[in-house]
Amino acid sequence: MDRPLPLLHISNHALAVRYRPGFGSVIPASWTLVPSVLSGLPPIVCVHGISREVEEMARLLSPASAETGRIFVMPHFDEKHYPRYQSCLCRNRSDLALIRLVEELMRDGCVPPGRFDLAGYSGGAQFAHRFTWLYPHWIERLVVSSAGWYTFPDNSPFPYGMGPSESSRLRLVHQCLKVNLRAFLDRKIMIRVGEHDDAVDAVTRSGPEIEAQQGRDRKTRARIWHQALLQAARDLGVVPQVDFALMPGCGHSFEECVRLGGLSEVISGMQQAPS
Amino acid sequence: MTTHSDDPSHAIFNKAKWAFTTRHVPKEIVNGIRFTDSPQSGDLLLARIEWIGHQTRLHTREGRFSDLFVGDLIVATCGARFATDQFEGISQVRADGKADLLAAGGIIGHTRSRHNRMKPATRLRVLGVLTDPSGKLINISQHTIIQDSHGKPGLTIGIVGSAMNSGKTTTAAYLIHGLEKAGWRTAGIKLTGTGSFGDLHAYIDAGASVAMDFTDAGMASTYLEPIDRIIAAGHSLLAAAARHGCDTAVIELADGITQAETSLILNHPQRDQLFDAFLLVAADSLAAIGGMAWLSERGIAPVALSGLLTRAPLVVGELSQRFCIPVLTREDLAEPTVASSVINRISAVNHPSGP
Repeated sequence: MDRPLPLLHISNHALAVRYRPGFGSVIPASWTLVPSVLSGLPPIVCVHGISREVEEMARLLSPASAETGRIFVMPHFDEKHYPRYQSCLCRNRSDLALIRLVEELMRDGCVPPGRFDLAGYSGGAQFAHRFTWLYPHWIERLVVSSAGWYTFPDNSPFPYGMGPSESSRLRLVHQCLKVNLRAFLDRKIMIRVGEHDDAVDAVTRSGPEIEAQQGRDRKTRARIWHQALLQAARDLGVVPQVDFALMPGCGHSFEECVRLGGLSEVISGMQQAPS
Repeated sequence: MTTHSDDPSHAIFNKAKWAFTTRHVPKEIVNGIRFTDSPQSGDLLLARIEWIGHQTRLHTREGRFSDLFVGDLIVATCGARFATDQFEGISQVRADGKADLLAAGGIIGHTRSRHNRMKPATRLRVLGVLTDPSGKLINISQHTIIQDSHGKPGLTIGIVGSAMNSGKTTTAAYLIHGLEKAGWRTAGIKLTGTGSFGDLHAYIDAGASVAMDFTDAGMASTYLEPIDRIIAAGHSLLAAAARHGCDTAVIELADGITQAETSLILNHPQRDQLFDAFLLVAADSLAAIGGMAWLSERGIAPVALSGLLTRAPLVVGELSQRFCIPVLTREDLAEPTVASSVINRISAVNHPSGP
């Protein structure tokens, strides 16, 4: 049995909170925050980290939703059906599950049709940047926060880079990434990581190859990925809209990043990337 | 022209099996029948089955197969047919009312030639052309879904083949499936060919947001139709797809690229208004190489290769090396990331677009 989602209590009269149950591995459950006054801007989909504290994410982002008038959608990729949702192309295809969820929400009139902003924290940031790279047509703006590691615009085998994967199931992904690279780099991309998020913990993917490519810790990896995106954009003649900043006083905690690092302002678009 | 003295009752019209090609004509408007030995392409004919040949079943307007029996009455459309491995026929009824069922979708005409593996076409006796209350002959061109020709989906891709049965419909359907799963609202359009529900059903089964063909634009078959009429139908069908909110359209052209109407479309000055890119489908390596060369001479560089040739990994390898474009199996095309990257490949060259 799935862990039942606890009721989410958000005392904000400027906001309606809706819970939508999931359907097995077809569509993830989700929370949607709908401000009473809508800005008309695209909805924002926020993807949780591997601790799957989606209710906490909803609670912490609700003031930004009410203040900016933007709809927030928070899918819950439960551990049973989406144990490796971060990779996007996992067995139950978290990428397609998200597309189905968004299409259902659009069909129901919960969110307007068209592109959406995609934000992810930690494991959710891994998901978010891969999803955007695979489906750039869906995304208006990408916020990548505190990812453990990244897919790079280099020739390392996927998922580390755009090189051929050893998995036959993923034999064409590298071609897709190469074709989509320009469109991916054409998005507004905001990269954030805590100023103190430089500890190597039990869940940090490590090893000589990844450390040689990306560095040891999240802070270093975010910096290196940022530089790699800028270089790839220059190589393709794309004007980069990639913004990187450290979140002051923050370690690897979503609550800290919102409270001290201004992450909810970044996600909600109050803090814009340079155009 | 002679006028038939016996006006069949409405019960006879209703009892007749109405073919797929007649589906946009409301049955209620039929008021009578007139015999003519020179019906025009698109006219609605009432005919009786005289002998069962190759076509043993009719595609009905309700979307199902109906077994045919000698003596059955059918309502179908006068039209021509071009199918290299079946029949070539023209929209003609002989003076004695004898005619052939050229295609199971409901095309009545006169067989000019047939593939040597084919039995003769099912034989009919045409009883007359259906008329409306004003006595006017009913033609399917009077009953279309066409409203106007303004607008088109953000991105359109043509599926062209080296020949009939090279895998075009399968390629179109699997690409549609992959695009829809990736969130592209996709129209499946068959722009040329002979009226039949098979291809439209393939698009619908693949998940197309909307599926249309030239019969929706008032043609039972595009063979021997004026090229400008077919081009106009293309604009109208794309406009209809845009009205349905489609961001992409997959447009299949019948038979091979050298077939008369398909070739005329690919050489037409308005070609680039209809198609943003092409995907070439071929049955084998030489057909692919020849097709690429033929298209290249006309300034067309396909974005990918597919079709029956992809069943042989050796051929895929050979063509992948020869041409700098992906050679994609149907399973590849059904993968949303791959289908989406086909679109992004086109968008990168043309213009950005999205849901």
